[in-house]
Amino acid sequence: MNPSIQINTSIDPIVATNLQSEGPFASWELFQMAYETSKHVATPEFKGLQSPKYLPHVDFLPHQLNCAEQVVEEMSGRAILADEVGLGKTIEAGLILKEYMIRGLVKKVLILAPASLVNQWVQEMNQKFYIPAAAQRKSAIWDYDVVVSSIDTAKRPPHREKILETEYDLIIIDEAHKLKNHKTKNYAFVRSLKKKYCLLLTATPVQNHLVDIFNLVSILKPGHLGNYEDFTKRFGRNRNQLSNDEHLKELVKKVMVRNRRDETGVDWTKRNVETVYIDFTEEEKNAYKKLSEVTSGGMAFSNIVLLRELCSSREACFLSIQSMLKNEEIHPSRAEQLQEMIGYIEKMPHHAKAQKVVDLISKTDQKFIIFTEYRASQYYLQWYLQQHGITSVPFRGGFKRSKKDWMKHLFQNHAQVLIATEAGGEGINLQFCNNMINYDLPWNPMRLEQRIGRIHRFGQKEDVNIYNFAIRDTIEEHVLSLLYEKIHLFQRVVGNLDAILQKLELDNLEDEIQSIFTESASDGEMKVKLNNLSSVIAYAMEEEDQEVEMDGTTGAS
Amino acid sequence: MEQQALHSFLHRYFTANECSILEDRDGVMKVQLTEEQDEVLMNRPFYWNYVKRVNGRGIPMQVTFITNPNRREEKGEWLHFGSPRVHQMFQMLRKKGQLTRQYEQVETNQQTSLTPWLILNASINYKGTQKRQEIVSLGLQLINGSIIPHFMDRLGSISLSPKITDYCFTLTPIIKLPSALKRIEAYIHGNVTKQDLSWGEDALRLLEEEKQLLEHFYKNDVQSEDDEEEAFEHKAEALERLEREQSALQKRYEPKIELDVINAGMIYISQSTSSKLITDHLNN
Repeated sequence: MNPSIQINTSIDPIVATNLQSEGPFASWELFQMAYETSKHVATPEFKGLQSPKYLPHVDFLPHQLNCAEQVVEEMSGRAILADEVGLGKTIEAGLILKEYMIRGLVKKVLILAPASLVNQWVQEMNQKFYIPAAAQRKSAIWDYDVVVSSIDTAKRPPHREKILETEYDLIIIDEAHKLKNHKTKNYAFVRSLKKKYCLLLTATPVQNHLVDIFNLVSILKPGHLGNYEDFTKRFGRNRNQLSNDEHLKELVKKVMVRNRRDETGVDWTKRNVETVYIDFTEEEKNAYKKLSEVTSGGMAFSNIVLLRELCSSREACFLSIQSMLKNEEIHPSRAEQLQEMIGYIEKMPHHAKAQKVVDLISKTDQKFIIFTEYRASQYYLQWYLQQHGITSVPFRGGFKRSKKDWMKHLFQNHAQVLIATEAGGEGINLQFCNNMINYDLPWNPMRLEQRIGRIHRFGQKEDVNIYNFAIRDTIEEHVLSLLYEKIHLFQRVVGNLDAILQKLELDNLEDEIQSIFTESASDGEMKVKLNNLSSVIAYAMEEEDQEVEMDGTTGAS
Repeated sequence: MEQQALHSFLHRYFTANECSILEDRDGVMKVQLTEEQDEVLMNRPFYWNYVKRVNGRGIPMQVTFITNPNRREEKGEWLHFGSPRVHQMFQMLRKKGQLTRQYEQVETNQQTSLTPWLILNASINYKGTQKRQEIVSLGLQLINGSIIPHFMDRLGSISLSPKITDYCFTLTPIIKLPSALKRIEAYIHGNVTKQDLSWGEDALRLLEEEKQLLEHFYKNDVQSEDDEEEAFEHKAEALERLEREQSALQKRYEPKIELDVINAGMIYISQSTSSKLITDHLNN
């Protein structure tokens, strides 16, 4: 027997005292049940997962179970979960957390996630895993054992001090690629946390440089890839050597699980994408023409906003003009222009797009989600659909959780249509619906990915239909046909656009598109610029796809 | 199968906790909770707090629990062995069922002596890189010191009651309780050390390996001889991180065996039954 194994079989003497006391004593039945219960929840084996049998309401996929088992049994609870987007990294993390909690190895947990995902984590942990997690807001909630927080909240006082002095049993960091730079404050903060187990979640463990992976691994297992000097001497800052070094590949495999979509054996339903071009009516055309003519050459920013709104609903455009007119610093001639515009808008009939929505939806009983960028359009559409006997519910990001859930419930059980504004795109899963209308298009393609991700995800049993609406001969058609369609935005199932744009340092594509419109002197110039932009992105996407294929290091599977 | 087991568990649970079962058909059970069970299970502390403050009488709820998967959609709460509600019951049981004192029911009209036994149920926790538990149930006869394993199972066939039967009396233990507990400790310790402990050795080996990697990682930082202020601070920080990581490794890998008492009790058993328990054990 090994003397280094600590054995402590001592029994608290209070047991003797209690036995000699006058009770209270439990009935034999209760005493027996207490024993049987303990036996039932005990984990008799070191190996194997206990958690799935506590969660019979969740259908875990084989790759998710394998991942959890591998992390717990072979990686001793410190790992990078690097599945491709949409394969359920959150679920894998939840399974691992649950497993450790059941086995009594984890109690105190900190989950760091982007602010926009904090609520989703809380909800998933509670509903799917029965783990009482709470979100860290401004006021402290230190009574909870499982806290979800954004890194920005966590690293600010008064939370910072509390968090740094806590000995966590498990720390989970979502979107961990944001920590790749070891010189940032976030990196230093994360490295100074006290932790027993640790999970880093990212779909892109190596973004630009090999040293990215070194920095991530150094949070988990400092020394596993040698020290900084050894590593940089050997690999420099080159990314391409990644797939060449067998030894490094083997080492990384020991701390990283990466599943790929085509290896999971999961059947994905098809995605049908249809562009629906719509012609403005004569009156609408006139209004649009008038608005685009008010400045010669490049367009003013505010006019671009108005044009986009006009393509959505006259209400959206009207509201903007009104608020512009209220601005006291407005130039009198500009005010005159705007007044004139109102005259045009008032002559407009019902919006051509809204009519198209009714045509499309009234043909069937199927459910539809309509996304629009503007609140005013949302109201208008709700009213317009109602006029045509179509039931709908609104959905906004600003709704409280309970209201969101209520709207989801209404949509699932009573209404045919859910009309969501952009902010409503995140944090709600609507797999029971398989039709989506992009009533107008955001200029941030990431948000489109998120929109589509609401319905085209695990659990979707039907083929998904996506209708993209665009008014012909407008700014909408240009963005859709010259940019989005060229980069096959709607067909992409792998959502790594975020990483690609970051790599191109195109973090804000919206600004990019905007400046193309404001700075082009002619339609021709604008089209050339949009074309160039789409070529750059398309090229980077191709490159990325090829790298994923040949780059065996990131594929530890 | 699991769901049926859960159904009979619920039945036993509510009966043992004196809740009346109003309906029980085909995996759907309607229960009138007692005040105690309402407080334990229904998560409404504000209500009970209020009731107590105004010296009123609370109205415990009636709840319907569903265990039949074919009837999940009906009105009521669907339960399975992972449900938080069921785990609340488990916790309640562990709390309420910690201590007992029972007497064998003997049909007699003569003076009969009952032998005192100590029963101790415990979980032995083996913790290496992973953890497993072994549940043990030991009975110790407090006159002659015999120890019988799987004692709960053995007691299953004996009829017990919290009240001593007429004409029966209990013998005074020769082995005092504190020393009885020491004997049980020693018994468990002996059994534990006879087991395969290779899992612990594996954990120790991993611990050693990772410690070395860690030291190499910080080698340059902590061995720096530079006396400049900045370098000095850098070294101090690195040392602090190294120590923190070392202690995390220790926690993660250090093999340990520990004992957790589930519950314990005094059981008084007639001499004939006592001898039968001991012979049965020796013959097995």
